[in-house]
Amino acid sequence: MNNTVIIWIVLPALLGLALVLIQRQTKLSAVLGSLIPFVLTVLAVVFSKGLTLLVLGRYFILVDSLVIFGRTIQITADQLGIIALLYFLCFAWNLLSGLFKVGHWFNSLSLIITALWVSVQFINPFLYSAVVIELIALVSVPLLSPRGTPARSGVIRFLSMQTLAMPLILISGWMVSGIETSPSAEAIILRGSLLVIAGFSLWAGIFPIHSWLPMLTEESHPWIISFLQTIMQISLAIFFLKFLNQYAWLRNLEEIKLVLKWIGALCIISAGTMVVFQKKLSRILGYLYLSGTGYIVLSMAFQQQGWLDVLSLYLLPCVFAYWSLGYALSLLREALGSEQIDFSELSGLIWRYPLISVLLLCSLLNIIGMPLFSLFPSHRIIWSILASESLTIRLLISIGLLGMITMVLRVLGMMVQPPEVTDQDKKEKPVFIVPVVLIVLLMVLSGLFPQIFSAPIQSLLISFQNLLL
Amino acid sequence: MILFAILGVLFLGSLLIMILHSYRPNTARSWVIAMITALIAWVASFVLRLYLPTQVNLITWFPGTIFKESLGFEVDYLNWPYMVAVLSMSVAALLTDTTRSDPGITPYSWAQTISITGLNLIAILAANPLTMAIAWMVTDLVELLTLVRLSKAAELGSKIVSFFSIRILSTFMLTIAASVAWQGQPFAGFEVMQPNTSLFFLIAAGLRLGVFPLNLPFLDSPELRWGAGTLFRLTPAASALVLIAHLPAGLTIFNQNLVNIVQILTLIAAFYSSLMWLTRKTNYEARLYWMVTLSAYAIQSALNGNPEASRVWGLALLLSGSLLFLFNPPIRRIRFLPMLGLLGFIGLPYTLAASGWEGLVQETLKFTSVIMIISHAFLVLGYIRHIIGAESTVTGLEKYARITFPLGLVTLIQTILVLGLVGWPGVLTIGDLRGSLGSLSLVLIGLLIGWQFGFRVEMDVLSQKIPFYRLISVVFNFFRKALSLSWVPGLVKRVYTPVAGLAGFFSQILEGDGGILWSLVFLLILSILFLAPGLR
Repeated sequence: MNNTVIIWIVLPALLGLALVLIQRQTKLSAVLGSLIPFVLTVLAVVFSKGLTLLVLGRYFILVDSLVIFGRTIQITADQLGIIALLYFLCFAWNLLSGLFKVGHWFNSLSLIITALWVSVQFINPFLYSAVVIELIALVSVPLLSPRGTPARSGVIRFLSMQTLAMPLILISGWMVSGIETSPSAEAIILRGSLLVIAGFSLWAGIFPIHSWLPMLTEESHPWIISFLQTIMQISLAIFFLKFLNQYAWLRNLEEIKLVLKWIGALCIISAGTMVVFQKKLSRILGYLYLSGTGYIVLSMAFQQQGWLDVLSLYLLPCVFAYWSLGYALSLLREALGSEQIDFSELSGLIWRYPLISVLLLCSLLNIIGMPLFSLFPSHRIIWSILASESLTIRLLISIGLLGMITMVLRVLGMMVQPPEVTDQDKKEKPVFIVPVVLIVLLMVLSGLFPQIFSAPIQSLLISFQNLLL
Repeated sequence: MILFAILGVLFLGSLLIMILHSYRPNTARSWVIAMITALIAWVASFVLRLYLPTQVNLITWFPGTIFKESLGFEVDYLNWPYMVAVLSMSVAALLTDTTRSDPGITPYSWAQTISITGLNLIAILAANPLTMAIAWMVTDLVELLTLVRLSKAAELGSKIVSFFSIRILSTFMLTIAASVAWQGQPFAGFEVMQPNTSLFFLIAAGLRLGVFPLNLPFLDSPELRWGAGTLFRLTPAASALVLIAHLPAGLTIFNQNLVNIVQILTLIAAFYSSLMWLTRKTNYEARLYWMVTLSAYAIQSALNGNPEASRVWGLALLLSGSLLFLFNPPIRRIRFLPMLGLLGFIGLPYTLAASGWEGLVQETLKFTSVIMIISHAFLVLGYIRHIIGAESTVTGLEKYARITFPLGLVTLIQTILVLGLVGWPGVLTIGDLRGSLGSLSLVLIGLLIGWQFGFRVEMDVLSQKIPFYRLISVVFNFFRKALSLSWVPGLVKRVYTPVAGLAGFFSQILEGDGGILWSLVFLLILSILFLAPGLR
């Protein structure tokens, strides 16, 4: 038990399996599903200063590595910040899971998935991570396609893409050894880089291989898909940083920055353009993830002074933005009794469900990076850096942004239209006022004082020493 | 300290009214609280004049990095007059509300009046574009929620969306402008607005003022006509005007052709709006054109390289405008009071707007200057016409209302006078006599013609007496329709439907049975395009 790998990977995975046994007792499962990741987050924060802790005159010393099947998993104190973020994410989603009809599997599988994502970050050699990511995709299936319902096209497409990505990363892994022994082999470097980029593109679902994103968000419960996508986006971003940190040939390749810029810009413009024409809120969520991927990739492309800080500043507000939007959409889904939340169902929403409407509107404004809200400070930095970029990239991103604003205005337009149903009475429970006010307040406060989110994660990416400029 | 006291008093007063009125409704008590609150803030704003310029840093974002930015307030000679003007309008609105019996005038509307004033003050006093963008967003969201609450029957839906669209676009443009202006080093104030980016800032301000495009959704709800409604429409313009006043003088250095286009558009906006202002039947109908004309003057001043001159036109928009619009009910006996509002924008030597001519009339009298002088004369004539048209007599007024109503108007008049004397160093000036005397001459001619017509613009009479009336009316109707942008929704719908079909088709291809293969094909095409020389 005095091993970091056991505490933050093996134990939570086992506890997740144990939760499967009590999944019928939903309340207990939800409480434990929240408590376990919370404790793990606290422990990760406590040990992040050093793996030795003095309690009541007794030293607790943790060992930082474990060998499993001949492969080493190593978690040092520097890296515990990342683990804290991932388990906090798991805690945040489990905390409110009891409010929605997310199925019995959510608490247990979310814990297992988090443990697996943690393991992805720390397995050596890294190519085994590709196998674990495939495993995560498979473990997600019971959440995305509950028992008794046929697997829908989005899930199958998601599995296909994740499976296609695996061999690319595996091949790149085998190539890496060749590159390291002959660093001047330019052709191998290019091929290796291409495979890495292609693999990550398939995993993250960048344009134009993003089709599974809106399909999956359309078919799944917003609370489930927002958890799966958020943890995936954040984990993949950190995993890619690990690549950049570990391999100088990849980091120093000039073309990689250019490719990342274009990938980011294309993700933002395609999401911004497609989102304007959507007729279902559930699909909009998918395009928001595509745009979010674009911003993360863009922030990685500009490797100038302090860029890692920008990325770490982006991550926690980003998690919060997805969490609040997932909450708003889940509330709306339950309130309207609609699975996909068609635009036509939103008419007169602001009079029928004023609190949910305010939360939805603020969440959308937040996620597109408008001033006052929590994502604005980091988005603004990215826009400022872009000012020195080529006109084409600036134009693409501006169009993408305008598309997002248009989408928010369309949603607002539907909300304030006279409802098609004759019943305009307020149907909302007054109890919602507390969480809605708290969430909006936190959104605004963290938009005004970015330190609220940036202070706890300041040293999040400190372990990537080679990337610190 | 005084600054925080002003903002604190306004927000606390608003909160107090709402809490007390929810528990123990008492209209008189609520009005007294609102009045005391606004008065304290108003008087304190004059005290602040002794401490100009003052800067207060609130928060520093990302200290120690190249992305360091600050949120803060600054009071200087550019925004202090706007601050006083907005607070005066708040006091005047509360005082004149005592005479009205509109259903929308309630203790909550008074709470709104002072809270909206407070929020707009944050935007007016913003020390940099970043603070201003945040303040704009807060104000817009609060106004959006207020409008939604007022339009209970949902009949204002599309107008609310138009209102919010233009506002959010202006905030977006301001944010983008501030980002583009960032030069890779921390900035503290409006000095970030360099000539090469100032056109973006100008567009942001223009959008908010309703000049680009020439449109402001006109909300017909009776609750929004007077009092709080006047503040709702006029005060948000104040911060946009402050932004214009902060623009660098060398704006014309940046892409002269683009500047010329904007200048012509502004000129058209000013001329057309002043003519509409003159010819509309009621001042309620004409209010939009008052705003657009004076905003166009402010923008024109900036384009002519004299952004500081925009200040007087902005103040005229707020003070003389609210003096006329708050003159409701329009009591015939006291119509000399709003007439004094002319002092705020007539531009004669040693009046408040005397220094404004420097922004409109260039050193060598050009065609644009002549158009501006004519437009100004229309504006003055329209103002006089709308006051002369006020003919109602009100009976049965409460005793206190006989004092409070004129007192509200006097508050605005005295603010015009005080600002005309001590608003900023050099406010007392002769100004450009070509502008002031030219406009005055035209006004006198106009008055003579008006006297002939009995100060009534009857369409039958006009059609008989004006040559080519039918042709002129066709041209004006075309302009009116084009500039009202009523055709935009139709056009958007016509474009949206086929494009949406195309987007849907694209989605179907990607999400259909062969979607994975199609995705890979598109990826390949993109890669080839990317690798092609010259396309990167």
